[in-house]
Amino acid sequence: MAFKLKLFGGILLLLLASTELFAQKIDEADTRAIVQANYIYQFATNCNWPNEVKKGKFYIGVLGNVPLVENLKEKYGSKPAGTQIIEISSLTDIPTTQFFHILFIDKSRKNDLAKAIKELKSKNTLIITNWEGAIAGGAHINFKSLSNAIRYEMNETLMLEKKIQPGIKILQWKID
Amino acid sequence: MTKNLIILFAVLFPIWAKAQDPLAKTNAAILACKAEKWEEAVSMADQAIADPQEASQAYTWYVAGFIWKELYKLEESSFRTSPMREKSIQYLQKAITLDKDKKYKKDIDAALRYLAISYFNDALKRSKEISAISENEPEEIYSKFRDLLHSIAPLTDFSEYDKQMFKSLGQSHYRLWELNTTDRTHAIKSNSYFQKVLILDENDCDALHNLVILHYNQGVYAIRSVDVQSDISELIIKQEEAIRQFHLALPYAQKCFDVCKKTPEYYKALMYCYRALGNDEAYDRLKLEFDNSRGK
Repeated sequence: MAFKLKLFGGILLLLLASTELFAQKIDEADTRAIVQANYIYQFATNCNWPNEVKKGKFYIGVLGNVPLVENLKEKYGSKPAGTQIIEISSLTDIPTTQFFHILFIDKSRKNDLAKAIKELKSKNTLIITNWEGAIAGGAHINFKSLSNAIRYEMNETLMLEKKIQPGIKILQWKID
Repeated sequence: MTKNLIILFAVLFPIWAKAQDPLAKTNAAILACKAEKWEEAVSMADQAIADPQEASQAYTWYVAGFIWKELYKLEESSFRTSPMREKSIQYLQKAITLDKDKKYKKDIDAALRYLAISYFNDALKRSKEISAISENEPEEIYSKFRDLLHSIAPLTDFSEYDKQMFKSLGQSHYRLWELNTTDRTHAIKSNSYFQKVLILDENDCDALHNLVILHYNQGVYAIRSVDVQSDISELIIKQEEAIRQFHLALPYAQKCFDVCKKTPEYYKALMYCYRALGNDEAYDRLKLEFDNSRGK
């Protein structure tokens, strides 16, 4: 009667819920860059440039924002803006020879805004920025934060001086 | 005379033999079990519990339960609805009811504990492979574990088991959401399971971090769903939806960062929340701290 069956008993180990094996991963995408890229595409497709620059490719240059360049290239590179095909370039300096329909200057390069305005004075280039006070500094469109969301303010008069006509959708969603 | 003696012997011998070993079938089952003759062991054990005298003994039921448990281990341990396991539990529980002086309690409990843990492991395994149609199975199996363990150890603290189960289910529902991000049903369920973990332990780092990812990634998905066909109004609506999710993620990211050992994942989670909400100052400060901590 004292016979023990433990000989065969064994021990069953508890499995551990491995959080490593099935770990959820945070999406590393820069959402601000995704949103800004989409806005820039909207500006490209919903603004009207003068006829003399409506031929060849539609050039967008970005100064100082790698995630934005990557997002633009990935999602909107080679897409049409009207009859033109969009080409995205990452810039290291203000372009003085090649024409760009849109030039985005990141806040990390805010000191280049004055130079851009001077160098591009006679060109139909839409200058877009992303820092407080850029509109007063001469930018045409500036991204700003409204309740944590990215919206944009614009200087329509300056745009018209450049013969760039903002479309109704662009005007409709601007903030003051 | 001789004939009468033979008849008397034939009648009395089994009675005598039984008197010598009142648990003959049970002991035969044990011997077969030791010899790993499973068919014979099961046959003898079943005969023992069918024998009114032997069936009145707790030991008989314990042996039968034990043998079925061994068979379950050998043949059906990967079978979630194993009849062998069910039978083993049934016999062991019968042994408990007959074991008035608790002579076999320790051994019976050990066997039942083994089977209870096998349910826990099955529930956990199942939770990692759920689909929309099998999503309730893990909890059903888990409740068997809880009931069984509670029956032998009523004072068991189930918190750690519950946390493991809820985390696993939270992660599985998250994976189901990722398969179809337009349907938030599984995201809501995932959130619910991680919230249950926080009820048990408000500082559980896994739950906090997974809640960050759950909300943050839902926000990212909303932003990513904007495409070339979308117009500005849609972009603004999607952004607002995303911002709501980022706002939900931020407190969990902050708490995780504050109470848990700082890992690159926790740094990134908090940094990305700040970045997504446009708080560049906080993002830059954390990024600098993170880079410095990595010797960059």
